Amino acid sequence: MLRSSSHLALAVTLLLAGCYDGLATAGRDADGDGDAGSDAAGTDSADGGDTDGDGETDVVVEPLHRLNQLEYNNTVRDLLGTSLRPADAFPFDNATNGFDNVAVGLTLTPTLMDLYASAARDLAADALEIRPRYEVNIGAREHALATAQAGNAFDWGWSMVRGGGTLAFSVEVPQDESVTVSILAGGDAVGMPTPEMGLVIDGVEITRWTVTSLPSAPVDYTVQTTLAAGPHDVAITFPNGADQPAENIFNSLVVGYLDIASDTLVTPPGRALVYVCEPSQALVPADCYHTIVTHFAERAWRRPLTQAEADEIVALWEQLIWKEDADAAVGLVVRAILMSSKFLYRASFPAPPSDEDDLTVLVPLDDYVLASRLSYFLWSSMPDDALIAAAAAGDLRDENGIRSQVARMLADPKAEGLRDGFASQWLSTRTLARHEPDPTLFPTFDAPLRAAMIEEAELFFADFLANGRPLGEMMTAEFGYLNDRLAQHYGLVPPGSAEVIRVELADGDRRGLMMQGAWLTATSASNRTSPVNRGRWILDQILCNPVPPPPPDIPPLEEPEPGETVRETLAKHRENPVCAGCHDQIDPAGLGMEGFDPVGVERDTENGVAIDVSGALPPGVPFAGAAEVAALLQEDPRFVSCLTDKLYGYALGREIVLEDAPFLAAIDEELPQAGGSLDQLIELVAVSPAFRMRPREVE
Amino acid sequence: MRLSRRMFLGGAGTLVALPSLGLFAPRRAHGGGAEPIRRFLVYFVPNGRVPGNWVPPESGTEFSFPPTLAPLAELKSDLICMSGLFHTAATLSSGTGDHALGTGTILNCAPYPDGSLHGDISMDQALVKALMPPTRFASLQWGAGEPMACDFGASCSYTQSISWAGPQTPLAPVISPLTAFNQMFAGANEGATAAEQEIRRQSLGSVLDYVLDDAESLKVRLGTDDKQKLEEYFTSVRELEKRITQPAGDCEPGPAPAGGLDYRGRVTAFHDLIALAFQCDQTRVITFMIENGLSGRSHPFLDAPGGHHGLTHGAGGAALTAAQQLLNLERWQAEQAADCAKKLKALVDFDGTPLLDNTAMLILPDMGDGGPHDHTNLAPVIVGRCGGALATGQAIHYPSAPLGNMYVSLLQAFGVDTTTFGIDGVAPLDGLAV
Repeated sequence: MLRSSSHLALAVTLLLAGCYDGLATAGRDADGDGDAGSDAAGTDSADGGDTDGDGETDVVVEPLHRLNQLEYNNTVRDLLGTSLRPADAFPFDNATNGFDNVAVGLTLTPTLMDLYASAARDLAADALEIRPRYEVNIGAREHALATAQAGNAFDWGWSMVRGGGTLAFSVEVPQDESVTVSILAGGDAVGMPTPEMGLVIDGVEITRWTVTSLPSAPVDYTVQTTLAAGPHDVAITFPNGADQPAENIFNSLVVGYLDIASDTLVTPPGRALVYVCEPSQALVPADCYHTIVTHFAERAWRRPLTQAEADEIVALWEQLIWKEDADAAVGLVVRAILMSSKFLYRASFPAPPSDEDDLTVLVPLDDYVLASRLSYFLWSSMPDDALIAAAAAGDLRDENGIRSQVARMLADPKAEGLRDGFASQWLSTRTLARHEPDPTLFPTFDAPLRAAMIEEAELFFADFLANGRPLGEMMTAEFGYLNDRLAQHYGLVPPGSAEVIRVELADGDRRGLMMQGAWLTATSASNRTSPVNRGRWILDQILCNPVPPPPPDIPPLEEPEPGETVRETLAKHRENPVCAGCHDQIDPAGLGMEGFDPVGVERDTENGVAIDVSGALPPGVPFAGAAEVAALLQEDPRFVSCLTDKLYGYALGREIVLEDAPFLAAIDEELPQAGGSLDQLIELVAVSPAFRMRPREVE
Repeated sequence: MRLSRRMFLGGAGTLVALPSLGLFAPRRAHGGGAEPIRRFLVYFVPNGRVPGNWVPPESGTEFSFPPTLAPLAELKSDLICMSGLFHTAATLSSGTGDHALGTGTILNCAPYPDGSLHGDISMDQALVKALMPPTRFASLQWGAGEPMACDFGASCSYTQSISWAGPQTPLAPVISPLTAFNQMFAGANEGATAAEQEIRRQSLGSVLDYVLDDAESLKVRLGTDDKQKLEEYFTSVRELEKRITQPAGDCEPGPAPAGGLDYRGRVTAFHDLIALAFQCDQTRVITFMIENGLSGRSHPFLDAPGGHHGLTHGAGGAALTAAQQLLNLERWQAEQAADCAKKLKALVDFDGTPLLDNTAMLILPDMGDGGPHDHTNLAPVIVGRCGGALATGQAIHYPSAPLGNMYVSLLQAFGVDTTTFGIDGVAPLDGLAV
């Protein structure tokens, strides 16, 4: 079996022979020009194919590539040391062929730009503002309404109950603090005693103010006090509220907010990252500010600046300080950089031409472009200082330099970004995160169980990043990841841990990718299994044998008979020749997995009938049950080829096209036949010419 | 948002209290004359509608409300039920499953030849381009459905958005009500006093001028296709610049929606936000997707625990058949649409009439009968008179009329001088206009 021939949708026409093939080459060569390069962005004219007809293989250029949600969050984490995740509020990125880091699908809309702007504002404040170590700031009206306390809304605030009232709050202080309490208040005497306001903490009145400010011009009333670590009851009181209901005369107290701020100030970690020098200690403060803003741009743009770029950034800061103070101007420049196209996008520029201008078609990518490519592949984030230094030194120009960085980066905790970006989409844990089984049928499927299933799959993948085991062993690994909750769900012996931990497994145990709850559940309907979806998952994710879409005008399906098994229902559908062509290929793979219910629990019967777990992998290779299919797949070269395709496409941030065939074939040949490992595969992708080179720009 | 004294002072953009239901004068008066300010709302529902339960059998001004249309019955005099519309673009498209074909072309009538990313400008965006409303946001796209697993190339783009700015530019919706609220009302004015706020606005203007210039220096280095892609950035920054350099108007939005709402809570919250957005003139064009195309959401709170999509293909349960569950689900969705319409009806617009009277709310399914994926017989419903332009209170059957013609009618109702839209819109539909 030639491994290389199983690559690409070319295989579709071979392996799904007999399937409805009108759309089997969906997305490939739609304009019939013989070039299956992405007709989507119209790039096939200039960028794909053997454009100079010299018989040399060309490389497709990755289009302009916007940061996706995960990449944005990780990048600002590394750039500013923030724990904010602004991209969680962004509209979701549309996945292309199952991955949301494909450039053509990453568009920039006015809504997204608006959210980039507010994110930039929040990030700059979070990173730069020296602030109290502890602070709570609670709007009185919202709080009173949310906790159903007596009083009423008045204009801008909350009016305390006539005749005296209390507005109660609860706060929790992480450590002992000396604090300043501020309450915005205004009051009216109206011939009654001037309203007083009290602050009561844990039943003890700390202070009492006379509120002389009117509701039309409220002021902050402040006091300093201490709060020990732990919970506290804080109340605003109106001790001299006076009310003569008969005459409708009363004094009033209106409260805007309660603010408790520690007197200890902390400098957020971002400030040190941005303020690389201290202007107040510099001989010429402006020089230090110039260094600050250009240094930030350099880090944010992931490369050194040109002189023109540096001048423009300095000019922006200089312009801003006409009206803003110097530090506010730094914040504004930070916001500008975070909104800039050079931050939000990655372009595939070539390295500047060398002196020996040989006329090869392929030229190296710019060192810094390659550095970013590596870091977004392995970390879903920006390069670190070490990687930038390697780029600057030209280390990334040779394969050994790249290999050494890949090894270092896979060992770094930031490799979690590969798990979060790649594994979560390959193994469908992201889909599981939003999947809701019918709560009446599966009442025990709760958030902790879902979380455990996600970790089971993702930690398993991460293990293979580090363990150097042959990739085929993903099917039959002698270890897995479980916690007590998940083990109980599966009916296994609990490992004695609330956290998901590595457990040793043996032959006969439930083990390997095929028996993991995440994909089994994510591919089910809410109330029954879906062998069609499970079959598609195996074909798409494990064999890279993509399933074409159904033809138009599919006939309505009959409702299942009561008591009918899912297998029986599906069999009826395959009686229709229009459906059978494809479903004869798709359904058997999923039917062999019927031994797992819609939430991944093993079962022997369905509706009282013993489950038939006979199935088949294309092209008609039979198996019975998950253990057998796992054994088949461990040996099936299509599994490793498919994972290669997926990683390669992910690394390059685009769909695979015809031009990629030779590069994928080269990886196949290089990967040790006896059992290449995941890190070896990743390394081969990273040193592939497709990853680190591009066609020379032809004018 | 950290509250501070400055936010409670008088001045531009502070929390000045206004009656929550009532007149709010738009900052920029519309046109002067007697023309009302018209609003457009698309309320998208996925996976088709079962025709027997949704389409009134009669035509004309006397018609009945079958079970999944019944929640809209009390709005009879405000609505127009259409049926028979032919979704040409879906029938001409290929390369993805039917749900993507239907949803992906439902508002733009732009067929696509394969599963890659294509698309073209949708009717709501065409309306924005033609009218250039002076609102803070040219348009807003919201939805309550979370992103799903998709397949076949760019299917996600086709099922998870209905608004398109142009080719290859779907406008993905915001699905968090709190985010949508904050976009409109939070942090719009930076600074303690009006003077400080104006300084900050000028600074932000400089910031945006800078990023536009800087992007030009990126653009010159790019190839043709990338230059085109970067245009999205320029367009988006320019829109932002218009908004950020103007003072935000005064409008008392009330408390923000909670974060972390469940699905039902989000749908209701978005109804409130739609009303608020129109009332505060934040925008005049909104599309709202109650769920994505191909939605598999189960609705256990409704006796419809089956996934929506599965139900349309007969995947029922022991207690309730698929047909029964689907009826419950579709009826619930109509109740939601009715709730939204009633909120708009309860608001008094600037001209003293109910805001719904100046609105065209298009309840838009992605196909006809969802089971067979029928693209030939669609039954959308319009609620609202659109400022006196639409002849409400009737059911009209349009056998095989092009869907694009409905959009021509709608564009004309808003005063846009056009007779074409998309692949098949060549004339307005008879009987829609007053």
